[in-house]
Amino acid sequence: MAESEPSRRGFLARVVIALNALIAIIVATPAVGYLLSPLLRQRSSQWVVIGKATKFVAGVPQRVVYEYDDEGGYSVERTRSVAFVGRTPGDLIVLSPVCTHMGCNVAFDDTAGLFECPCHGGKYDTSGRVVEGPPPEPLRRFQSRIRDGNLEIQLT
Amino acid sequence: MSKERDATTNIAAEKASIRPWLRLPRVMSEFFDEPMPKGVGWPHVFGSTLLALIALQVVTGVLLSLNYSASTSTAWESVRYIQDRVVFGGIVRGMHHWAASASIIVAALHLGRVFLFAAYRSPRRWTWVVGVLLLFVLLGFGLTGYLLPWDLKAYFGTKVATEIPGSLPVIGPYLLQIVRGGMAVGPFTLTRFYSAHVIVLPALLALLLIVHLYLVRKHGITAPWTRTGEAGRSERSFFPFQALKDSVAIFVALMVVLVVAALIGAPLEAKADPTNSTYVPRPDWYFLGLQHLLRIFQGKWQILGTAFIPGVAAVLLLAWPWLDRNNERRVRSRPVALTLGAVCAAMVLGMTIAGYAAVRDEERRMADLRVVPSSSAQQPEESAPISSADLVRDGERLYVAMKCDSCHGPEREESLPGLPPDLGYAGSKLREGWMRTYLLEPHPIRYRSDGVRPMLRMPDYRLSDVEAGALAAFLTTRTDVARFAPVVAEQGSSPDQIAEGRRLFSNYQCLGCHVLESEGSRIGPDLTHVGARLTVGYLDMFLREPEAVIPGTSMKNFGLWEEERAALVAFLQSRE
Repeated sequence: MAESEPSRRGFLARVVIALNALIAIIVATPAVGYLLSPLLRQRSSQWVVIGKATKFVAGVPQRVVYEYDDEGGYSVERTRSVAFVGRTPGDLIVLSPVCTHMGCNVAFDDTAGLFECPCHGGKYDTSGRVVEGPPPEPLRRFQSRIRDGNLEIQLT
Repeated sequence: MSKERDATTNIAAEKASIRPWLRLPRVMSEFFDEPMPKGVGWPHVFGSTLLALIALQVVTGVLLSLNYSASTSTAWESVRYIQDRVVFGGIVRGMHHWAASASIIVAALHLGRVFLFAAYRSPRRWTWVVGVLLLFVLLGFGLTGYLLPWDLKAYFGTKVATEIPGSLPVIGPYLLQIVRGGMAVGPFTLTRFYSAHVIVLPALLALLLIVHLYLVRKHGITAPWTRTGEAGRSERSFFPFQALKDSVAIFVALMVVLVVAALIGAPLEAKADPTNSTYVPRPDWYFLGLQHLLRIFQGKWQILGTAFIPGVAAVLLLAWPWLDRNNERRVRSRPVALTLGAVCAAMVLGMTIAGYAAVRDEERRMADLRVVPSSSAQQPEESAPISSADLVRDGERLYVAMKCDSCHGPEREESLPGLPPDLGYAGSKLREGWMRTYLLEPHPIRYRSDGVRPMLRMPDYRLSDVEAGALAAFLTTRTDVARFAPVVAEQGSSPDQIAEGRRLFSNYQCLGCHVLESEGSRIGPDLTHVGARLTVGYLDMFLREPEAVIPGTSMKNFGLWEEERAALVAFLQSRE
């Protein structure tokens, strides 16, 4: 009995470690699933009216404040947001005001004819291309369409 | 003393023979290699089990707090969101709910074990005191957590619980306002309880737990059945011998909590409604005894039940190590203490059971429950035929008594799809025979978004044939003739019409969302036996304007011609 004690101890030590590992896995499985829940949620997209299509004329990009329903799982909130609408020959483009560098909101500088970011001096031209500064990518373009005379953009 | 040293050398020798990866790191081994006195074993697992349950509460509590919103307008909604939409949300919430109950049970067992083994004597008096304080903190968690889902149970349970400090003389009314954050249970009560539940109590718990564990480790485990001052012979180290028993106990406790969480889940009643006047307030089971004291002592004696008896009990429990001056730990030598302990335990248990019975009685009385005589329920063939008016009235009483409206009434939240159906117009929608069968044996019609797990929250109430018949008869009387035209086409339809309906059913790709004879997908309800379930009027109206019938439904408005609708309805009606 005395000789077998050390090996018994070793065996029991393994059993204890295995059992506790099992306990940890049982608790961790739902916990990890729960934490990853936002990734598994279905993304929904919606078309939002941002104004009458005829309102947008050629010239400088127009700043538009629009409202949409932000669905936050258990609550729906009416939220305000901003977009820039520019008219190029033959097409309307709707740009997101979010600078692709660090996410500040850009403003349009009439004299320079450029979008300027107040944070780190990034500059974009009227079609959203980077002309100066640190932004790695052009301004994001919303999918847009005209329905019943209204300009709509797709939010995802 | 020399024996103790022998034991320590033994442990060291054993350890040396173990493979290096199984040896614990030095810091841990100093903690885990505590020598266990002879006789320590299965009765000593409750402390570790409670610690593990508390750890589980921390993990599940943090997860719940990620989605919970402590405001009266969103608390209930966010809890239901967790319950229905978050991956494993129902399980996590269920575990948090049931582990709370399990903690109280295990804490009671732990306290009982320490009492039986007289392990509270000097030098372990303060370990006992801190342990009792920890029990109070656990009860505080139960009390504050109960309100957070903001359902009827939470609201009325807390309303009654906070009346207790309010009943104290002189300071009562002021205390009540401080606890509630105002005169009534409302938004400030919710934020107060939330703060207590996730900030104040956890901090207190951590502090007390550290002191408790430090004292346990400092003074070691009491050698069972010895005299005070006698050191028991140390035999083996905690790891792995006692650790194995502890781990097995933790595993069992966890599995029990997990299985109950998965099978029953945590209850969520209808959203708190202060105007409800039929709801019987019911605290969590471990407060039923305290609540019962309030029934026994009323009027000018009320203070006995609200403050005096619980207060004296708490003080006695805390001071017990100083009151018990016996040096013996053997059971036979402690007749007075053990009898006293047994009597107290029996009283707590008795009050809890009496409290439970009283709540059940009140609920029955309030609802005039089970109006259908049980004798006729058991032997329907022998009972006299029940007139249809009586049946409808019995059904209505049952409907109210069983609180069917909390899930099926007009007050239920409509913002989420996949809700229990509104039964306000059940008679225009569902067929009586089907309702009767369904009530006797609820079965899934819809599925969750994964298309695998059934969406079935309807409990099986184990109704008798008569009860199910009465409910179905009552529900059939609830119609909405204005919306769902009286069933004109009920007389039948031609085979041609059915064939045309079948063609349209395939043309419009209804199987893309519906199941028919186990074909198709489970986004919408299963249509296999739809003819037996839904009326012509409802099908017709729903096909015409789905949004108007079920706001937020994923059913598309196909803009069908009247003949197309008639053909589809005829086809669906043929699926019985």
